[in-house]
Amino acid sequence: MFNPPQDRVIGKRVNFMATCLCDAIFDDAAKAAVEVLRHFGAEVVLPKDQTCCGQPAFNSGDFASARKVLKSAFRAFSENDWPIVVPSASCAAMLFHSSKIAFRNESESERAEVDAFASRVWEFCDYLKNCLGVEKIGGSFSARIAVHNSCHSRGTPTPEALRSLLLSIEGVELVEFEGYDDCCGFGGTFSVVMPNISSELGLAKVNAISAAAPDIITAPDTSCLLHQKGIADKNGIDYPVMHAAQIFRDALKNGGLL
Amino acid sequence: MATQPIDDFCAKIKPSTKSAVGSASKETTAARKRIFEAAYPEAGKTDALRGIANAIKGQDLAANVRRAAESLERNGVKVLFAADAMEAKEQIAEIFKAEGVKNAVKVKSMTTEEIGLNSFLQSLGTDIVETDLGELIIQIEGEGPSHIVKPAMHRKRDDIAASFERHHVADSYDDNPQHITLNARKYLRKKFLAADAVITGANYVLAKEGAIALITNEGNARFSMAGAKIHIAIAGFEKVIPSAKELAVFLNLLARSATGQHSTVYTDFVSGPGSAKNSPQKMYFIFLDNGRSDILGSEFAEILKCMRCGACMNRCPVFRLISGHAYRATYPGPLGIVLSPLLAGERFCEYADLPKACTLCGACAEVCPAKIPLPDLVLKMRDLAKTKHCKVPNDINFAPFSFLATRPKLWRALVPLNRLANFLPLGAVKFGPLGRWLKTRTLPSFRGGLFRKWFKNG
Repeated sequence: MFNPPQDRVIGKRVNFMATCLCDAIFDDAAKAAVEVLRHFGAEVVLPKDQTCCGQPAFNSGDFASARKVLKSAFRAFSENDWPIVVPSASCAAMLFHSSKIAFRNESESERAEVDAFASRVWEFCDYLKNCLGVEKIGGSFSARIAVHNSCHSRGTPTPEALRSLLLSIEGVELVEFEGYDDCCGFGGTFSVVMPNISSELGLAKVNAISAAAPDIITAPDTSCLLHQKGIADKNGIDYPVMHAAQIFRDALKNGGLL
Repeated sequence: MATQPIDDFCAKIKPSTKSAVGSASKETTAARKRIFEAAYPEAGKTDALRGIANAIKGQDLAANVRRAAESLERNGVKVLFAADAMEAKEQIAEIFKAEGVKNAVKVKSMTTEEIGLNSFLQSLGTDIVETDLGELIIQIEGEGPSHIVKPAMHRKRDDIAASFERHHVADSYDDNPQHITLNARKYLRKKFLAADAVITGANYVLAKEGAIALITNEGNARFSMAGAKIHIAIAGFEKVIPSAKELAVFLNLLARSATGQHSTVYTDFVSGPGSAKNSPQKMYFIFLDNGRSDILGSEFAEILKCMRCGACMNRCPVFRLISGHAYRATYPGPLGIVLSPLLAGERFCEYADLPKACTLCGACAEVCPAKIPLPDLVLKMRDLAKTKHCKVPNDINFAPFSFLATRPKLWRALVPLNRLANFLPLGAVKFGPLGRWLKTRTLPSFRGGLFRKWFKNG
């Protein structure tokens, strides 16, 4: 569904796009992603003019605002033509899929710019596995882990990459739960435009995952986890969440590899 | 706080409706998956077939409609074109008047729901009875369908039994499912025999052969042809496919996607009025436009490839929770949030909130047998609502966001200050987007804003 472009730019020198959520709130997920990338041989730069992918405006139908923010992102990452690694399946899909919809009626040169940018974008787990060729994270992390498939990873290599990388860590056990590929109801601005529907879907997801009694709930996105965690807290449900990058980083640390 | 009609509906929905819709839609999605895996165990084959269906539906529709009209006429069918719902209803009323039709039966058709046919004919004094069991269940209660394939999906057995007793379909309360069906059968038999005319939709119109295909499980289409002297079929012109050859593709997809059956119990072909005494002596076919030409010429043309299987709504997390009636329109679910506002024409903005009732999870696109990129269309609908300046409740103004997000220096300066939010009583906010967030969720314990500093030093 949100398939990335066929011929993506590859390379070990990469730009890191923190995403607005990690930039402003979840520092540790972004730090972990950078540490893991470096551990596996990537040379990481952080273009300082980056802000956001424009998805909040885009998903709300404000395509004009989204285009402005996307153009700002194009400028921010214009110093080189290396891959851009994003610790979010959702922001990645915005940048390689939805951006084309936002610019569909714009000039040919702008659309070419969008396509060129799209082909540089990699979701973090996908990049590790399918660009760097990482098969094994190594180290150890003793936990029963529930994986929430971020919906924007549908049709991308991310879910498979995430699962196989988790399973490459000693001590990791993946737990299954009902409705594993159902949406948790976050949906970005949907969560505050349709708060009743969003919350009810969220609680159903939290309950389904909690029933499997995992030690940790992970995802390739902090946004779905932010919503699920917020609902779990409100309902007094113990719900420890970690971004996938944090698990990889901790596994490496536990193994004395980092 | 502004109210959001669809979201309010979710908060007030009856528990019995919620459990009926939730379990039926989930079960049908699971049945769909099982039957496709059984039919095409080879990886990618179902997907390839869906791609073929998409390509066939993408062929020159105008040329196929012209050809279908010629073929139908050649087979003795009187062909009419209706520009909108009112014209279609008037055409049917005129036929009824000319032919002296007082009693009519109807075979399940979403197109007739779309034009509001029943209430119109009833206002003219015609007795029009739904012969599909699900449709009959909702008709006697004066409800509209809550699902395009399972119109009474929102109803429970005990409630149906009580309704049958109240409306004299059954002599007494009996909630045994078989008895419910038998009572409907007995009730409908009289209606079938008394009917002067039958109204049907058409699942497919075969352009080359000049025939329509009616795909049902109950045999009511076939049975209704036995008594009635007049057959009127009506369908949106997008139901035309090139020929019977292409139909094979759709017959391999439709029932599996809709109900999880390899095929339905009945697949009827009607290619003109009958020669036998006990079949309709006259047949009319109405091609309905009702906004479709405009859609065909727009960036939403893909939605006309829909074959009305309902797989998208069965799979949709939002539909499963809120049921079809939440959408206030004939077509609910992922299909409906794209199609319904477009069909509303001038009244587009009244339905501009529908495309917001979507988390953009993409699950619908994975099951659509015509491979319609539904989430992309939903996003384009939101764009259209914005460009038409529709007022949608709970809409957020993104001007401040885009102002900040396009000023990297300002953004950089503000991000570390975000830590200050740790000391603000944000949890007490009761209004706006944050208030709506906090009603059911907590905020994360803020730690943010220092990633860039770490990166520089690390």
